[in-house]
Amino acid sequence: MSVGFQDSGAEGEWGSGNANSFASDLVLAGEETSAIDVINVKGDVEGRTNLISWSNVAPHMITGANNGTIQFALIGTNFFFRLQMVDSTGVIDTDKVDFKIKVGDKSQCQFGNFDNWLPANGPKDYGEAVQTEMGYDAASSTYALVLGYGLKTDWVEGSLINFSIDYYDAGAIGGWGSGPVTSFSADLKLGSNVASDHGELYYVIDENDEIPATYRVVVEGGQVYLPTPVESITTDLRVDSSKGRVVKVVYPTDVTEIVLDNNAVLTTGAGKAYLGSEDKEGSAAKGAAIKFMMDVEEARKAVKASDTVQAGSICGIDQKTARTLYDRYAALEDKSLFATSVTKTYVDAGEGDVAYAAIMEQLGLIAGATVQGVFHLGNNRSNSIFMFTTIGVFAVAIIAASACVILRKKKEN
Amino acid sequence: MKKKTLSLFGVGAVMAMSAAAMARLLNHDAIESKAAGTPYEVKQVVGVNGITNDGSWEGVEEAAMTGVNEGKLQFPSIDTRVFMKLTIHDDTHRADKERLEYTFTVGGKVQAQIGSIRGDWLQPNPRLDYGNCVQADFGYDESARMYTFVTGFEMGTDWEVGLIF
Repeated sequence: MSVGFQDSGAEGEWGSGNANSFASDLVLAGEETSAIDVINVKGDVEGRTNLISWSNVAPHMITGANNGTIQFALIGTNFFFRLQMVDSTGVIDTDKVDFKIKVGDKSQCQFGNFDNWLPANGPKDYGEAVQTEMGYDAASSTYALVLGYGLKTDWVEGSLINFSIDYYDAGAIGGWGSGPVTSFSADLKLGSNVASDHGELYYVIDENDEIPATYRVVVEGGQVYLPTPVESITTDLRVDSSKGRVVKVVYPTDVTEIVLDNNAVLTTGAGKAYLGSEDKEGSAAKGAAIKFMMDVEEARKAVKASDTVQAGSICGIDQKTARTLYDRYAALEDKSLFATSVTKTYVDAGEGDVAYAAIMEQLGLIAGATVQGVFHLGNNRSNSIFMFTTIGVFAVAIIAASACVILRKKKEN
Repeated sequence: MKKKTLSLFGVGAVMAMSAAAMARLLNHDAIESKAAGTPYEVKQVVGVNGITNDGSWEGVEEAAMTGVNEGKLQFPSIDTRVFMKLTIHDDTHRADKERLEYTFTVGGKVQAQIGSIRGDWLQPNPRLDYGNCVQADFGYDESARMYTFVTGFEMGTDWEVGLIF
């Protein structure tokens, strides 16, 4: 092919002036389709996308009456898209969005606004969204819409699906759906369905402080995100009565550092525990111990929620679970925290704390199956039946023996 | 971004050319006969509704033009459509006077136009075997003193991986 461009200068006629040229063979290379690759990303612990997820996905420009970008991602077999649209006159209930996802014979067709109204506009074969986030940032005059749908068995790696979306800018005073439309449509090629991996770490927060909803995080490659929603879970566990509650933070595995408000940097990767502001290095061994205690807490809460726990029991864990937990406890490298840690007494909520040493003592007894009657749980019904059956047999035996003695005495008389 | 230079003549040689030589340079046959070197690889990009947008051109290999003006060309594909973007510096912006000419030759088919870069006059030269352009965008950036021209055509069943044209 060839191209020529002739610059006529300031006064020349058409076709006069300096010549510029190009000539080369062209060869059609690579893929036969321009379908957008939908890559797998890491999400939060619920399998939803977050800012980090989208930071790893190439945006595709949408141009027209309004300008914006669109991104596509997979977490497991859930398909997500994120629309960002610049609109200087954003009115969340009149600006309209209308999209269609076509997967084989199935479709997900919805339209609505940016005020949490997205009814069906045709088939809605994938039901309700697994993630719905919408909002308008006045500072940047930009809408953001994130939706995700579970494709389940319709996910096939390498298959093509079709996606189209229309955005209608109603302006400052227009009605819903009025105004110029900006459209995007493309085939998408589904990538792998790797589920997200997550790590955990633990740190201590003062008793009266609230857990932060977001953290500054650093991801692989050194990029800093501020602020980023990372799931953090408060607990009743205190590893030392002077050190406040333990917070569990669950983070995508590409997060390398989590930065607290006091600028303390928590390095991720080994399930470390950071026990106080003086603890800069953290300890993976203590982190393992805390993770174990967290699991004990969950087991205790589960029993408490499902049935009554006998008075006097501070552990409240069934024998099978206790044995599994106790095996893990035995394998822990660092058990020092068990001597100082306390937690809530779930048996009688509000009655104060219980030492973890006492919980572990009962856990050991239950796991050893030596005193199961004493720490009997309401949901351990087989033990109850055995006990009452035994008592019944003994009672019948005593009555029978008594009857024999009475009859013998009567004969003697 | 990787640049690929496929020149017919050095800049100095072009500047020294006579008007007749320049006219010959812009003659389709003369240019085509000089084509040499490794073919430019036309790779798939993502567009919107079958045509390119600004994002489509990111990362697409740039080939430098030869001449007085600093210019570059890009050639991506969207499915079976082939596109071209010309970006060329020109301090003396007179879009109706600059001459633009391009030719794609695919086997015995020709997709060629000649005209101005203003947008209202770009005619077949001599024909458009693949039909009207699927995209024709003209622009001039005053601050950068830069023309842009985007065109594309539907190659249809002639599109085939490995095809050299």
